[in-house]
Amino acid sequence: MSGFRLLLKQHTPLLLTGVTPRLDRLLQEACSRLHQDWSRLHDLPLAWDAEQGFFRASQVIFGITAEHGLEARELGLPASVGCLGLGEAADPPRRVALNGSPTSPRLSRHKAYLAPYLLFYGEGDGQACAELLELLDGLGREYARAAGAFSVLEVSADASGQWGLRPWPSSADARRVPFEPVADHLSLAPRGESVGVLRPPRLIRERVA
Amino acid sequence: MNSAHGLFFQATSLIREVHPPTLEAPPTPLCAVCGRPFEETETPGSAYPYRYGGGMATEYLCLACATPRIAAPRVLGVERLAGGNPEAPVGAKLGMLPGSGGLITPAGELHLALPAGFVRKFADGLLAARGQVHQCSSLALLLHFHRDGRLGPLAEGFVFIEQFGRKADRLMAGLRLSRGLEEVWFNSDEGARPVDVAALIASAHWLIEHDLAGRAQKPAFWRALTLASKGARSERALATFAEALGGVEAAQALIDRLPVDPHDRVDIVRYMRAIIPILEAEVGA
Repeated sequence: MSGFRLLLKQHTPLLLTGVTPRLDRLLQEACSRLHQDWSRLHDLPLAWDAEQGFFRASQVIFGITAEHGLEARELGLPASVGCLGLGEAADPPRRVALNGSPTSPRLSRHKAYLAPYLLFYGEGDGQACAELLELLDGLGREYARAAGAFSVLEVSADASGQWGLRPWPSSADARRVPFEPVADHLSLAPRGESVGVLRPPRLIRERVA
Repeated sequence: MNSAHGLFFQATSLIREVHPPTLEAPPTPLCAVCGRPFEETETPGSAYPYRYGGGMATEYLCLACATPRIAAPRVLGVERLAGGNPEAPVGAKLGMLPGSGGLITPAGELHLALPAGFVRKFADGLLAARGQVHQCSSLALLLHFHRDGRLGPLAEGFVFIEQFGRKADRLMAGLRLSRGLEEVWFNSDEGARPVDVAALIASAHWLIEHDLAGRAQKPAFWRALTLASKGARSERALATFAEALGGVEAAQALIDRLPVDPHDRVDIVRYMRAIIPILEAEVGA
């Protein structure tokens, strides 16, 4: 079990979920797809921290460069799909503008984030984590509609302890928490009960060389 | 510990007392809007049946989610007269207040931030009589309350409604509690998104201290930054921006104080126009 870093290329804008995407929860979903079994908790290739009650895995970190920072994008997606009239189905619009046009009020404008890279840190089997992660279509909301698409570029060893950029229990020793904490109430492990936690801000950026 | 819907329920109890809705035992297990099981809501076993119109299915809502749909002419005011007929006043509802926001303090008090038109219409209502109707923007209301210490203790949770809007379902489905100024959830009928109000205030203070308060309220000042945040980055424009601030170090000092979220940076002019005048008034006072 050793520290690793996953470097991902972000292809499409990501819509943040209520709780920022976290490696252990993503791998639980990936394992569920692999085994086609969503009824139980799967064995994840991550180190379990028994003292704190969580897997040593970070939330998603946006990797920025000198040329490209974290950018704002808007995704216009239909909130509901009504039946198309025959005329619309036979002759669909070629260009849909977000402003003006009859289609625009029917679209929900979602605020999305785009960066050159995405990063995850963890302790465990980095290669296995990368292979499992690639089973997912995308991170965040609307992954089925091509938001949050990514591919794994590199798995490297990392001893920085940045796996700690994730929620910690409120009872944890404040000196061990490696960030300015925000108090919140959510689950520390996949399918766990919601408890009082100290967590990092939703958006964390890191310079990638 | 407060929850968003619980706090909203508490803050709007007057509306339900004065205009009691007809309730039924729900045949469905979950509220159609917020998705909470009815037995976990504030009034287990009790739901508000809602039907959009004839021939549509009846949806069952928990009382918190139903409250924005309750017409409240005595608590709020009269929105309009149906067909101009003075015998048919249409009561205003929290779920149909475009351009208006609100704030629910941790103690469960609802305060409305309304434009002049609504302030006039609500002037005779019970809420106005209690001094809970204000004529200002929702962000201004938040800042005033924070400055006056009426928002504490923050950690217990408050609900900030940037805009009630016209889609009550979306407002209540996404309603989120905030526990600090670093992450204030701006609830609206387009969903909830977090804004780092603490960073906006810090940036506004820096701009006032460096005599840039007036210029920072103009879009042209921020253009290089807003374009870079949308992906249209120009090194030349950024260099000009740095020059206008008095050098790269000064520019970095400002950028370090700005919210990290690029969406907040895209809206920075609107925020500065709301925040700077309030902070300047404080400094002047």
